[in-house]
This record gives sequence, C-alpha cells and structure tokens, in this order.
Amino acid sequence: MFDVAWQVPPRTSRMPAGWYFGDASPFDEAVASPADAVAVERHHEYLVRMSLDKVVPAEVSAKARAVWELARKAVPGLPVPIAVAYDGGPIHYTWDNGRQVIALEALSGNQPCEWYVSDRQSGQFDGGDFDLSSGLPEPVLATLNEYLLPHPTGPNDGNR
Amino acid sequence: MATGDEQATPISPGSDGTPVPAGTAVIRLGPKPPLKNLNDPGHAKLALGQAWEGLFAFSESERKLASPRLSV
Repeated sequence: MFDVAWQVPPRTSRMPAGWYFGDASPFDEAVASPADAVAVERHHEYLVRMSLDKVVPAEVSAKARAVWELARKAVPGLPVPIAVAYDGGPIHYTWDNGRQVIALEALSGNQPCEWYVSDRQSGQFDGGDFDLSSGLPEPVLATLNEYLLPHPTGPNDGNR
Repeated sequence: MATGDEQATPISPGSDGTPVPAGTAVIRLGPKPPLKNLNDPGHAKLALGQAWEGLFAFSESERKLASPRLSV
C-alpha cells in the first residue's frame, strides 16, 4: 500500500486528463523565485485555457508545454516567453532581450516544431525544424544560455 | 529591371520595438490573433506599445526560410 496523500488534487473539473500543475512550486529547481513560480504556473494555466477554449487542439497545447519544459529545464531561471496562440495552432514562443530573439513554435499534427534565432547586433540568424524527442537544437540552447547574460538593451528590452 | 530572381532583403523589427523598420510597408497575410490568445508576458509587451516577431504569423512559404519576412 502506498501513500497518496501528497497528490495534488485537480484544480478544475474541466482540466484535461494528464495535466499537472504542481511542478511550478518554489521547490522546482528551474524556478528562480516565488514570483517566477507564479509566472510559470500562470503560463501553464494559459496553455490549458488555449486548449479548453478550443483555440488550439489539445495536442498543440501539450506540445507547447513540452517545448517550454525543455527550454526551462535546459536554462534554469529562464523567464516565461511571450506566447501567442493562433486559431487551430501553432503556439508561438518568443524571447526577446532587445539584441537576441529566440522563437520556438509548436505546430499541429505531426509537423515538427520550428525554431528561429537571430542577433540584431550581428545580423546573424538561423532557423529550422526539430523533434521534441531530440531536444532543443544546439543553436537554440546556446542562444538561450546567452540570453540571460547582461546585454546593453534599448527601449525594446523584451520580456525580461 | 526586376527579373523576379532577386533575393528579398530580410527585414527585422526596429530597435524601438516597432514591428518593422520605419517606412516599410507590409501586408498582413496571417490572421491577427485576438488578445485573449496572448499570455501574460504578451499582454505586458503590448502594454508597452511594443510588438514582437511572433505576433505576426509567417506565411507557409516563409516558414522554411532562414530569413522569414514579417507578414503583418
């Protein structure tokens, strides 16, 4: 017999099976502060809402959640990206610190995810597809790690 | 004379946060997402009067290009 007292009760009866909100606690090593934990949890709720409100298929919402998990586990302290959901998909993520832009996109169906990185200072840019099972592409990981470093920023200082 | 083979010059958002450099005319190809489709950081960005690349959907033909043009 095992103890199930620790299990997080469902937050809402409308919540689809398989969704779990409990990993944005202050004990989550990928969360830098309680404020970040709140931001992370609100983002997770946003993803569920996009599915429940039929903005995107549940698979797109789940794929976007998986993309976000890959990113924040790879780069602890990474802020919640700007996210926009298009009707029927995709969900598009953007991190923008004024100099660097990292975009990840969760598309519907069997389509692979999309990535795009650019550096406004150097003018360099790159992009392509990736499968969730392979993790984030190396250029994305490298740019996300640089993203948290201090950069001189202009008025468009992104979502940091 | 234009031959149709010229490479389009990539554009990127202006440094002041506007979606395209000043004076650039763009054509919206993708549907504009309603505000309810944005998450909190997206709303915060809009409250600052700033746009970002992801706000503007890319057309299918541009998805696979390394230098996507904005479709506003």
